[in-house]
Amino acid sequence: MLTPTKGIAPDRSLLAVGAQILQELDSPLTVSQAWARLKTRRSELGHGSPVSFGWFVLALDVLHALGAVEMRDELLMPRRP
Amino acid sequence: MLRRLSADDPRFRRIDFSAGLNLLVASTADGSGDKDSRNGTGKSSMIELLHFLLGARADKRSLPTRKALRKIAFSLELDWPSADGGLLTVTRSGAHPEVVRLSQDVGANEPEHESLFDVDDAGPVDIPASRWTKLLEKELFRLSGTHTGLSGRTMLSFLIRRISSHAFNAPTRTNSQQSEADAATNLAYLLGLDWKLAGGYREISAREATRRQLRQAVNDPVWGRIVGSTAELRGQITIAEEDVRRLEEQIKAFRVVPQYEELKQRADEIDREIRALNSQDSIDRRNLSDLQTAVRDITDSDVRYLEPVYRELGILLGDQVKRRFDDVKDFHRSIIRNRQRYLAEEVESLENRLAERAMRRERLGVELQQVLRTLNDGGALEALTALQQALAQKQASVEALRHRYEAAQTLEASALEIKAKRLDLQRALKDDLDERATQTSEATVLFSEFAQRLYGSGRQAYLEFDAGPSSLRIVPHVDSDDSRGIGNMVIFCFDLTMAVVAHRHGRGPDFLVHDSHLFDGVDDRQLRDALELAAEVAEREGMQYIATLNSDDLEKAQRRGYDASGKTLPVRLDDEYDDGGLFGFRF
Repeated sequence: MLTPTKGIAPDRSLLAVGAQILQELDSPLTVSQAWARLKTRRSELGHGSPVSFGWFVLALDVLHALGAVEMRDELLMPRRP
Repeated sequence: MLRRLSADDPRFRRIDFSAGLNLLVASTADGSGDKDSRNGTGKSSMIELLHFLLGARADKRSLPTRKALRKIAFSLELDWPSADGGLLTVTRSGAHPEVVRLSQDVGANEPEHESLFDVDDAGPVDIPASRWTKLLEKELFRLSGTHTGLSGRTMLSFLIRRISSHAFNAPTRTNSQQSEADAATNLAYLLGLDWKLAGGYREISAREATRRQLRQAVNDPVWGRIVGSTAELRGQITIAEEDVRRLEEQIKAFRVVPQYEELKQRADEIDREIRALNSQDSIDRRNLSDLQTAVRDITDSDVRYLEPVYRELGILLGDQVKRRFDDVKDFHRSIIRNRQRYLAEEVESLENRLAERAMRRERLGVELQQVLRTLNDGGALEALTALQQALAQKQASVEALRHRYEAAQTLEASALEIKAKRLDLQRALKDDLDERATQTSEATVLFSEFAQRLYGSGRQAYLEFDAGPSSLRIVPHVDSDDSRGIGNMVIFCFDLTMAVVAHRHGRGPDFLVHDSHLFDGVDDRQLRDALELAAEVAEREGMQYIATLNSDDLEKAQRRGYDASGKTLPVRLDDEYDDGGLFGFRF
């Protein structure tokens, strides 16, 4: 799930999606904004494979587990190491 | 009196006329075939030349303008009492028929008053042909000023009948195209009747012709639109008046809305706004459905994925994982919770917005309806002006139609009017004829005297004068079997009567010319008597009688004891040689 497998297209793997989210997170954003921007970015990149909101949340979870994103005052914050 | 016919071509046979009887004889040379006959010797050409020199119109068909004769200038010398020496020579050529040359100026230019200087009028002078006909009218027929309906040319056609215009068909007509009224007017003048009354018919027939043309015009698809019939016009007027009435009512009920233009703009604005609302609505509705699906998407099932993901993280990126699973789960939950709350808020705001818009639309719709109703009920000032202009135009067209209707009515009524006029004229002319018994009987007595000389006293012969429906009718009667010969002799007697009466009273010249056609088929005794009668009358009245004659006709008369000595002109035309004719050459 993190990396592309037989069942998961490269552009749908959680790490790829997480990377896409991080690219959008240049400043604190609401969850909705992050979600909306991700959708826009994916359609611009021509990634046809579906990413549901749940999948988006998983990608955020991965980023959080890796310490790249935090939640503060209802806003997602990028954390640079 | 005509004196001499000549030409500047030496081959031309000059003809000198004398007082009294002049016979120009055309003979057939022995041995010339029947084909030669005496046609083309120049008998009728002489008549044509006389007319040409007496001011006849010359067109491409006339004899003197033919190619062979164009260059020749013909001259006629005739008596002209007011001229020096009493003689005048007129010269005219086919090349320039619009000008005639007179041997001296006989008032051609009609000085208004005595000139201060003696103008030399002894020399020859060129005048327009039209002027020459006027001079002839004055000199030969005592006509001056305006005399509508009388024409010297027409009267000359009676005194010098032309075969080329079929003048031998009827005694009272000189060409087949001539209207009866025209001919009768001129005859009335020559015979001393009231020519103005006779001329009245001309006006009536002119009016009638106009009327007939107009009547035809009504039936013509194009002209009919201009003239029109009363029935059609009545219908059109009714319709047009109805239009006018409707417009007037519209104008009466018209309410001017002061801010018409602003209101119109407001209506457009509202319309635009409603449309914008609709498009915003459709965007929001799509968002709404998106959000609602998003709300449905978020279930706890996602949490089940979290564990495998976390495990995989541990496997793949063991030392990179900074958080414990519980942490991550909390993070996950908070996101979802926020998200749900947030989505719910958004859905609510969207729904509120939609509801608000629906209300706004409602309000706008009501306003738009009001505005539109105002616009419908009333109108701008410009619209009123336009209506008034339309009304003015319609009224003008009704007026025009009424005028045309009147004209059409006049046209339809004019038939009766013309009838009435004609009856009036007939009555007046009839009374006039009764009162002019002296004049009519003078002519009748002469005519009957002449006819009885030719046909013996047993025959009844008289002139009938009658006010006909379309012209003064002058009908010469000679009891007869109506053969052609006698018809010609009726013309002979009638012409002689007319010429004598006209000359006696100074209304006509002293000459009468007859073409040999008049004697075609006339019995030899009558021919002899006619020639003797003509000579006698010319002698008695101091006139000149010129006739062309075929030599065999003359021989017929001579066999009956006619003495032609001293009566035939020295010039004889014959067809034996090419130079035997009048012109001295064949063409």
